[in-house]
Amino acid sequence: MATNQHLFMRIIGIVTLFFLLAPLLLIVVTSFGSEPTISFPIKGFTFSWYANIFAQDTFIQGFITSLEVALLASLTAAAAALPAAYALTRKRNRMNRFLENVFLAPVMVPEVVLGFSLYSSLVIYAHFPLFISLLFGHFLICLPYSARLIIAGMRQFDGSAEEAAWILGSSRLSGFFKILVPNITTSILSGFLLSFINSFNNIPVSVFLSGPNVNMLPTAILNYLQNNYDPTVSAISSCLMLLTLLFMLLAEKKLGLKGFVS
Amino acid sequence: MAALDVKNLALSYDGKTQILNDINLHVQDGELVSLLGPSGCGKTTTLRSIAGLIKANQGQIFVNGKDISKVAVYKRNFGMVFQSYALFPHLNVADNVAFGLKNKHVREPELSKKVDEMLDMVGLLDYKKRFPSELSGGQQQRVSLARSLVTEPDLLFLDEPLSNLDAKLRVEMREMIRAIQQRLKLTMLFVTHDQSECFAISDHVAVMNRGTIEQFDSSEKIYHEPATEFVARFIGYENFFSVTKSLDRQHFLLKEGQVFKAAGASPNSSSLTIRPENIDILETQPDADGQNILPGEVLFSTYLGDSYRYEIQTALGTVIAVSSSDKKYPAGKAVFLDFPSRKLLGLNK
Repeated sequence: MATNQHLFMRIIGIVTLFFLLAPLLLIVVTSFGSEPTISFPIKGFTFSWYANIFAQDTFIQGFITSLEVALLASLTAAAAALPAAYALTRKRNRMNRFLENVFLAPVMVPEVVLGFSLYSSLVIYAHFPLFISLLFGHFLICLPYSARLIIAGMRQFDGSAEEAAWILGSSRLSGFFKILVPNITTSILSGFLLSFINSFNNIPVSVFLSGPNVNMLPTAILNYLQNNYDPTVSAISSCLMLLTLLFMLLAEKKLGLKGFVS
Repeated sequence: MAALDVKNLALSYDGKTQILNDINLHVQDGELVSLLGPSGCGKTTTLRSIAGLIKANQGQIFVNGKDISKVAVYKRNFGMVFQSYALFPHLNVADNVAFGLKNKHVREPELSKKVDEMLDMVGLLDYKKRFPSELSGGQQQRVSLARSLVTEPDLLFLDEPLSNLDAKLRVEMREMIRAIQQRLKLTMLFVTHDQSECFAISDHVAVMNRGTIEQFDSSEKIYHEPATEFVARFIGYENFFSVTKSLDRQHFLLKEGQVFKAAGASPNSSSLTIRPENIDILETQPDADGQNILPGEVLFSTYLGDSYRYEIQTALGTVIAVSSSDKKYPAGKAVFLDFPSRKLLGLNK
């Protein structure tokens, strides 16, 4: 009985993993195919689609823009979330609970709606530069992740350690940076990493806020795909997978998975 | 070290419920004073207000006669030991202890010398490089003590420092705190809900109830002459008899109609009390005048090792009496209780 159950669970697990991973593996395989269109199984083996990535200016530009936006947005989100989380965790009252929900709200708004409303308000109405609008959109994507993890980190930390620092002669600001911040670095970094990954992979907001010289990598890939169906897309997807995988491994090694689950 | 005076301290968060009400305290230089009371009585709030962690609505705090009520917490030069130890998890033992010294810009080699001296005093010199998570609760609390003493504060606050320790450690730690306090002539304010801990360590005790100080006296006085029913109950008195009126300077008419003679009680006492071990249990009615003698019936007994504790049904309700274990009175046994008039205390409301 017990072993039957065991076997059953194993089969379920393997099937689930297969459905999750097979499409990804398929992409990696097709990126090496010599046919001019994406096909499986592949007939010949070539690296030329990888070389083609670097021949496409939109990909290179998109990658740089994505990197810039993701980095700036996650940094500013972390910088904004840190003092906000501090203020929200000092006292538990109705106002603070409400504000906490406001901070987490962007996750609950469909990203298409977020993208469209930013487009119509910032770009069309207020004539903000596209890059600034894009950055603001991604800041909103990042904020809930940073805020949530930092709030959780601060709640877990015993507030009396900070009080001990004050009594031992530290000002509030110095206590904050010398005692609180060093003890919640895991939360800050996990929030930053989650923000970065979400911003880098985001399409709905980026689509609305992209234009002639401002294109994020995912939107560049979408645009490319509308005109070409060659394995360059598979190649760049494989590269992104590898990059994300390395990123996650690094995070797991330095921070442990705990930071992402809490 | 320094003397502390607290005058008319009051605190309310919403303007309606009074958390602290007219708190007055005087702690002499080199004295250990305890704030004793049940949870929620305001003892920790009082301590935190004096330390500067909470801002009181009213009142003044004087250290050596200087009003420090408006001084920021980090400029007050106090020390504090927390119930949760509150060590800095990311710093090792030596850095935890050095934290306050660095804030005072003490430099090497004096810094290390002071840290080592203090760690030596609490017996943790070998643990310098350990992190708080690698220490037991007792060791953590000793680090916390060293950390708060090394800056030579004017006043040391201890907020239930022993509550998280097991019974044996609690006694050890308590004796260590008292020994250090007496050796270095420190002025300490100690918060606890444990009366035996409080009496063992304090010069003076302030018993608190609902945001006010019910009695502020020497340990001995609190123990032998509690002023109010609340204080008496809190420190282990269990029998209380309501007084209807006093007949003369020594005789009191009780609510149930009996007359008790209480030699030391003040005429305006609202109730009388007696410790369970001061009641004598007799098998036969004594031939004396019958004063302060009450017949009763044993309801229940508990064996305490060196004594028995009885619940006895009398005309005054259930009376708790403790007698030596030489002889046991079974349940249902009719006995006579003698309340010695010199052991009966008068209490105020």
